[in-house]
This record gives sequence, structure tokens and C-alpha cells, in this order.
Amino acid sequence: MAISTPAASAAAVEVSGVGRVFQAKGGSVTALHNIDLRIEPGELFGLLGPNGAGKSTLIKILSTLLLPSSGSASIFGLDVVRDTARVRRIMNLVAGGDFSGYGLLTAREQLAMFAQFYGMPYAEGMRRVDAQIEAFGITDIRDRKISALSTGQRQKLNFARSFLNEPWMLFLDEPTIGLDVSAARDVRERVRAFQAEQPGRTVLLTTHYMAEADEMCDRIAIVDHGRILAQGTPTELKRMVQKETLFIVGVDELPAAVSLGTLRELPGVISVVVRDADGADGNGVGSPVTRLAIALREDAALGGVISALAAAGAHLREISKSEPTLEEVFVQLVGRGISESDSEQAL
Amino acid sequence: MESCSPVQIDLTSRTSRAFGPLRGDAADAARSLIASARLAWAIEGNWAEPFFLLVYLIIRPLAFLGLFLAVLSIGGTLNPASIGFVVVGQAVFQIVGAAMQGPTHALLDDRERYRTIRYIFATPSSLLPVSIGRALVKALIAAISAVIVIGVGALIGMPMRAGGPDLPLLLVVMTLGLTSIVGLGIALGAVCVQLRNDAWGYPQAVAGSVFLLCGAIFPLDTLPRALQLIGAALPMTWWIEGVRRALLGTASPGLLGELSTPLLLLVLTVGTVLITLAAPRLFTIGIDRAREKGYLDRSTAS
Ligand SMILES: Nc1ncnc2c1ncn2[C@@H]1O[C@H](COP(=O)(O)OP(=O)(O)OP(=O)(O)O)[C@@H](O)[C@H]1O
Ligand SMILES: [Mg+2]
Repeated sequence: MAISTPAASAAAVEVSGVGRVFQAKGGSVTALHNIDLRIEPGELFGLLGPNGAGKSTLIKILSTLLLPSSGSASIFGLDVVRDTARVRRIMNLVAGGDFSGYGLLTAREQLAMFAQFYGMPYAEGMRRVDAQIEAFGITDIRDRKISALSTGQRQKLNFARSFLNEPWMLFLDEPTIGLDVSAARDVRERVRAFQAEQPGRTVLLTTHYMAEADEMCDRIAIVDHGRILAQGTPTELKRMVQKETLFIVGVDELPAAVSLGTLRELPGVISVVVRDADGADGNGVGSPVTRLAIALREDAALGGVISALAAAGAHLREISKSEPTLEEVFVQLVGRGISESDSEQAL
Repeated sequence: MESCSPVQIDLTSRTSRAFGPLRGDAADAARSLIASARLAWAIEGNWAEPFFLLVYLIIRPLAFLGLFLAVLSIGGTLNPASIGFVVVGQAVFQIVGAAMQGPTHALLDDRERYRTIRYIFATPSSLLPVSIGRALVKALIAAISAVIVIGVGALIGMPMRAGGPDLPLLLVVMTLGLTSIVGLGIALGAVCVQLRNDAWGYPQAVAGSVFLLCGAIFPLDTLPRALQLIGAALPMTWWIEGVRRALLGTASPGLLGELSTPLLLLVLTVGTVLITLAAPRLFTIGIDRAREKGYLDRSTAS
């Protein structure tokens, strides 16, 4: 049953002019400059940026752990500075990368404790605890002490905790760091299932894994040095670095009857260049391939190019569509790869 | 994601207390307090480690007691009255120390060791009942130690009150004393959570100084005048004196002893009320400042 309140039509996250300055020993550090951001209910929004970009700082401010130095932010219309009690009822967070938990408690006891912190009566709390334990497939470690759990098991437990209050807004700060491929996949699946269960559940995720961001996020903001450099869907971001569609077409050899010039004149073709050519090796193993990089206005123009090549007697060896990766977008916007530091860039 | 049909979110019920017959801030706080107390029972009374408990609860306090009695005997002042004075002081101070350091240790443990403070802070529960619950259990476990010390004291000739302990007085004094010291502990926690470095040392240092000033071992009269005044302003001074009267049936010699028991209770009550009013406010201020500085989820190591 949904009661429409003014807040119900609000953005899931609304950040306006948020800045944050830390006083550190060597002077002050500006972690965030005047950030504006809006995330709609139901979105899975990603923050992508190198170390020190300010991602965690923004998540901490939104999850009421830290105060902004300037600006304001709200979650479903509730101010994160003033309305903390209500914000905390509809929000939860998971951070990756450190072991957290009370080693002497069992997994179930720890979750039960958090259920109490959410004000649930014991029976209701335990019902939710057991449901999450089940959902994460960690029934086998339910009564095991936290100190005996692996990193992956602990992080699943941490996720289970974050679902206890069925949050509308879930903050995930590098949640899959340190997890193996299958544990990371389990966790991502749970997040998606959780969002699917109820429209409106919103997720803000930071990650260093480009593939994770690309695969999971509806929209992404690329941040560096406390500023948002670009935001959009993964496709939109990729379009920023590559406007045309690019196909790589491999033929055994370019027939004399067709020149690059004739291909370039075909409708919808922007450019054609020889990308590379592999000769057969000395033992005659493998056969020669010439690869053409063909930029098109639209995918449909490919047909004309292929027909022209075939008509000239070329044997087609391979066709692939070349998509820019988020990594390329990132490098272009940030000026360095996500795993390179500022200093490496300066070298 | 259908962006055309706006999502209807029932914020009214989601952001109010949606659960159970018990409603209201007090009920929520009670729940958090009990949950934290359970946690503390598991982690403080690590009953799986009997050797550790033996040392912590029995050997250590008794070793200190032995040391103090040895000092008295060297000074030539070892007599039943002085044994009673020292035994009760040492016993009650076990509880004082635990209650006073408890909230700070809960906050710092959760920040530095267990790294759970951010997750607790992000719940609707306040850190206040969480810290109180943890401190109370620490005090309770220390009380076991106190009982053992008093038992040993009785064996070695501590003069007990004729007709047994004054239980009503003991109950009142213990309740007031514990409340006021947990209150002080809360205020101390509020200060320490704003510190990044060496915050662990502060409660210990405070407890150590208080130990010397509150007449636990050294009668107030033996202190310089200025320190006597500080000692007299500390609630634990009155708490320990109250317990002495309830158990031994005699007042301490000197300054404190001149006060009638009803007057002592009045002083302790007024002190407790003032502390109980001030401590939660100080705590909120401290936590807010830690939140502003970003120290709530940043461990010293990170
Ligand atoms: N409590 C603090 N005190 C001082 N400086 C801080 C504090 N927290 C963060 N910073 C600084 O603010 C900047 C942003 O840090 P933040 O943790 O938000 O980055 P991040 O994008 O999450 O990086 P990472 O990918 O490494 O997690 C960094 O320069 C960091 O050193
Ligand atoms: Mg971070």
C-alpha cells in the first residue's frame, strides 16, 4: 500500500553543491568540490573514479556518517544532515575491503543484534535474519563464529545485514573488493534480485571494477579529484569517446578490384583503414589476414561494404564490432587508467 | 526501470517505527541496550577462556589487594579497620573502573577493532544505549570480581557490619553510584571519540587518577587540600563510602565520616541527577563533532 507523500515523488538521491574539506596534518584536503547529483528511484547508479577521488566521502555523507562542509543532500526527500533518524530507517550501507564483525558472535547472533538496532521485535527480526541467511546461501555458516569465516562469507553476512531493514536506498562502497569471482557474482545477483523485488529500491555503488560498473549500472558518474567529470548510461559514456560504430572486417587479402577509396565512397561509410595484416608464418601455418577498420554512420551500412568486398572476390575471414570500453572512457576523461596513480601519470 | 510510472513509496510508514507493540524512542533504546548487553556478555565475559577470566576477575584484583595490604603492613597501620577500608575500596573500584571506561572502550572497539561502528551508527538506534549496554555488562562482570574481593576480605578479618550488610542502603548506593559513573563514562566516551590518536589511553589515565583521588585506598584526609576537594566532588568517592557503611557498618575516618548517611545519599543523588542530565547531551555533542570530523568510521590505522 503506497501513500503518496511529497517525498514519494522526490529523487532517490539529490545532492546539491556538496563540498567537503578535511583538516589534515599537512593542511586541508578538499575531498569534494560542489557536487551536484540526482539519482532516480529504482536506479543502480555507479560512481567510478581513481583512489582519492572522493567516492567514499560522498557515500559517507549520504549515509549520515559524515557531515558535508557545504551544500545539502537528501535521500527520498529526507535531509541527510537534519533528518538522520528517518534517513536511517530507509537506508543501509555495505563497505568492502575491511573485516568487520564481532569474532565471538555467531553469524546469526550478529545479524540478530542488528535487527534489534532497527527496532524490530525479536520474532520479526529473527524471521528476517533467517530469510537473509537463506537468500545468501550461507545457512551452513549460520551458527559459526564470525572469527572463523572467510572474507567472502563475512562480506555476504555484511550484505545480509544491509538487507535487514529492507532499505529503499542501498550504498555499496566497493562491496566486491577481495571477493573471488563466484562470491562477487553471488553478491551482485542478490543486489539485482533485491532491487527487482520492489520497484523503487535504489543502489549507489562505487567500484574499481570497470566490468562490474558496465554490467550493473544503469547510469555512471565518473569522478576525479572531488568533481564529477561526466555522467550517463554506460552506452552514452562510450559514445563520448567514439561517436561512430566501428567494425573490424578481416579478409584473406584485399582484392585488386577494390580499393580503400571505393569502399570509402559507399553509402554510410565514414572511413576505412587497414588496421593490420598477419602474414602466414614461415612454416605455412595459418593464413594471411588483412583487417580493415571500418567506421560507419550506422550498423546497416555494413551490408554494402561486405557485398562490395565479396563481389570483388575477397574471402571474408572475420567480422567483429569494436566497442569502446569504459576503461577507454575513463582514461580519456581522467587522463589515466583507474589503477594508475597521479604520480605515475606525471612520469 | 519504467521512468514513466513514478514509483510510489510509502515513506510515512517506512520512516516511522513500523514494528511491534512496543513503540517510541524509549522502547527502541531499550531494545538496543539489551542487544548491546548481550553482545558485551559474549565478548567481555569470554567464558570460553576460563584462564583469562580467572586472571582478570580473580587473580589481578586479589594481587592488587595483597599489594595494598602489604603497604599498610609495612607502614604499620594494618588493622581490621584499615583492612575493611582497603578491601571495600578495591572491590568497588573494580566496578568504577569498568563502568567509567566501558562506554569509551565500546566506541573505540567498534571503531578500531570490530569496525562495526559505521554500521551501528547508520541504524536508527543511537550509540548511547549501545554504549550504556556494553558498559553495564562490563560493570556487572567487574561486580563478580568485587564480590570475590569482599569474600576474601571477610576471610582475612575484615570487620563486617553487625547483623549483616545493610542491603537497602547497599542497593540504593549501588544504583546511584553505577548510574553516575556510567554517566561519567558516557561523557568520557564523547570526548575520546573525537580523538584520533591514543584515545585508548585516556579512560585508563582518568580511571587511574580517580583511583587516587576518590578515597578507594588512601583516605581523603591524607591528600593535599586541593586534591581533597577534587576527591569530594567525585561521585565515586560517595559511592565507595556508601558501600563501606552498608558492608562494614562504620563510616570512614576523617572528612567523609563526619557526614551522616542521609546527607551522603542526598549528595550522591544530586550528583547522579546532574550527571544523568548532562551526560547524554555531552554524548550527542561529542558524536556530532566526531561525525563532522569524519572520525566515526575512520580507525587510527586507516
Ligand atoms: N577523515 C579524513 N581526513 C582527512 N582526509 C580525508 C579523510 N577522509 C578522506 N580524506 C581525503 O579525501 C580524499 C577523498 O577520499 P575518499 O576516501 O573519498 O576517496 P575514494 O574515492 O573513496 O578513494 P578510494 O578509491 O581509494 O577508496 C582523499 O584525498 C583522502 O585522503
Ligand atoms: Mg573509497
